[in-house]
Amino acid sequence: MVHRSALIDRNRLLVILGFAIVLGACAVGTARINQFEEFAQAGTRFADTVPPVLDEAFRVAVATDSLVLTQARVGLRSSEDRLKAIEQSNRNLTERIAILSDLKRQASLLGAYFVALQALAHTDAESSGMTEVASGIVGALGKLSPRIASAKIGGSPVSDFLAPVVSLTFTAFQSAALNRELRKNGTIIERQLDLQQAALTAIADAMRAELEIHAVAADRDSIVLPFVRDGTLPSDWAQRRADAFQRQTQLRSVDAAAKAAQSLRSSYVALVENRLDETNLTALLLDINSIVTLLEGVRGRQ
Amino acid sequence: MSASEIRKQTLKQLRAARTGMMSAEWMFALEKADPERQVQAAKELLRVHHAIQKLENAELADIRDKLLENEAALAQGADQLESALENLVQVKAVLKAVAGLLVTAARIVALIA
Repeated sequence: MVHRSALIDRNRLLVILGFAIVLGACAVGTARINQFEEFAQAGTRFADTVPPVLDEAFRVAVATDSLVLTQARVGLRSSEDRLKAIEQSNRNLTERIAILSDLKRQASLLGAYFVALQALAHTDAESSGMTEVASGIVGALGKLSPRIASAKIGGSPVSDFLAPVVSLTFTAFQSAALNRELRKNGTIIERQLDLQQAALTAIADAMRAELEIHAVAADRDSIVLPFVRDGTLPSDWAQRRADAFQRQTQLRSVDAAAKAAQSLRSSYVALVENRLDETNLTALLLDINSIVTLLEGVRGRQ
Repeated sequence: MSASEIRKQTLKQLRAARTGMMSAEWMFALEKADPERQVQAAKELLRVHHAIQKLENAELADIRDKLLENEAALAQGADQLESALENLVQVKAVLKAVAGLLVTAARIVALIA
């Protein structure tokens, strides 16, 4: 009698331990899936910010071209030379806008990929109605056997344990699908992120040089020339000079988009290697948000 | 040095030259120069500026072309994710069907009993 009671206790303990492992596995699987979802959300937001950055880059390129043409025009004596100059500029800018259009489309494709990844990661057990399904199964089992309806495991009703099992089944399928995706397309996505970073770095370098020209021309016309030439200084001359020094610091913000691309790529590698954490994600989101600051800052200066 | 690095270095030098030619110092120097020198300086500024535009275009076009190489694979990746999502929906449907079968079985048992 004592021996049989000990066996029953041992089996009960094993069942409880088994379900504890199931619950633990469910939590770990869900955490990984949440990482996919959060990363995919960040990726989608990044892809959405790329087109406005490219539009702003082109606007600055045209404004710089106009500034250079205006200065050169003073020295060009013949209308033929002036026509040649503006036609060459127009050809170069037409080519530029076509390339930027292609880059926008590539960012959009990347965005579509992240939207699909987010949808797959977002289909969690709760939002998909799996918990209702689990309740339905428990209810149906209860009707088949009243003993099941009243059964307890470790003092808790069996329904408390069945829902996580159903969730784990769903989570396991979902996790397998996401990990399969990483194995299949991980290299391509990493390459695309690498190239996006290269494109934005090149654009940032160009924008930095162009904004520098605007700053040099503005300082020349509003600060240096009035000071050097004869005549009264403008009443706000000292303020213009102070503002000019402030402007130099703002030039560094053009790197925001390229930095965000680099951050996205590093986070993706971390996701693939299963070491993405909240710190990575927070830093990534800050970098992406700083792109908006870049756009506002650049527009304010023009 | 690779072609890409040569292009980067050339761009750096050309940009520096262009910035210099927009400065107050350059403008003062030109004001004292003869008309022929002023014409040459204007043409030089345009040559440098247009060379920068062409090199920048070439750099961006290179990256664009590499992105295009992977475009089909990227689009396929998104399609595969949508298929995986459909499969997941089917898993849910199977589990729902199991629940439905159990409900039916329970009714049959109730009828027989």
